[in-house]
Amino acid sequence: MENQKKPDDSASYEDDGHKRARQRRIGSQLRRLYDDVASEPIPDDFLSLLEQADHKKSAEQG
Amino acid sequence: MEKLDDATFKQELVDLIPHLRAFARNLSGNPSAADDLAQDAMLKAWNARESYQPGTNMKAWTFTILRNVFYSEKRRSWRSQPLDPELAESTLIANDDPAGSMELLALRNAMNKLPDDQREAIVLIGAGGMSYEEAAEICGVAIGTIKSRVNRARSALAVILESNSAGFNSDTSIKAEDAFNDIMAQAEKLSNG
Repeated sequence: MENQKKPDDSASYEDDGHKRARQRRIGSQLRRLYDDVASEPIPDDFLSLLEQADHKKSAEQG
Repeated sequence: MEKLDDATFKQELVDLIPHLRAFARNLSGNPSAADDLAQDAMLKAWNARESYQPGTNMKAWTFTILRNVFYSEKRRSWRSQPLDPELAESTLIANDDPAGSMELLALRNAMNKLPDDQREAIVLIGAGGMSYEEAAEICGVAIGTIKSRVNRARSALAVILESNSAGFNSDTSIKAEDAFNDIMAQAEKLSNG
């Protein structure tokens, strides 16, 4: 994948290629920082807070 | 359009909690402060459910709320310092590959050095799966502004990461392994209270 193109101007091509590779690496790590958290199970306190808020509403109405 | 009934709204909101937590963690850097932020945003979204328009993007709607909470809280300033030990601990414990963890930690620290507007732009676009249009709406700016913030963030991250790794290899000659052991020692100290 890294060698899919033949460089015409090898110096600047390698430089661009290096930059692109680095940006891809940063991009995949950024997604990982996000996905690592997003794939954790939802902590119970979130669900209980939301239940409490919902029950408070029902209590006010009822 | 019909409003969502509360049960449907609640289910959709629950489905978004993982994203609220991830967005908060990436914005704030500090795990426990981030969960407080995500909880605030979740409750504000619940309380504002009457104003949500069904058929519009609920994820973007909740992210807008979270962002507003973040900036109003931030005026009271709890944002973590770079290389927060709690952050180091959570990053390292979450991963079973020390070299990869160091790399993620370096990126986290680099993220902490970005200006807020660039950080949120690159998190929304680069990690949160938002379109430029959605990110522009969440941040209340033009699409072109988001694009330029993302570009500046990408360049800045590359420069920061490059200069960090240069630092590791220069005369100070701190090896990644030493840095890792140091962080693990800190994390251990923390978990022992």
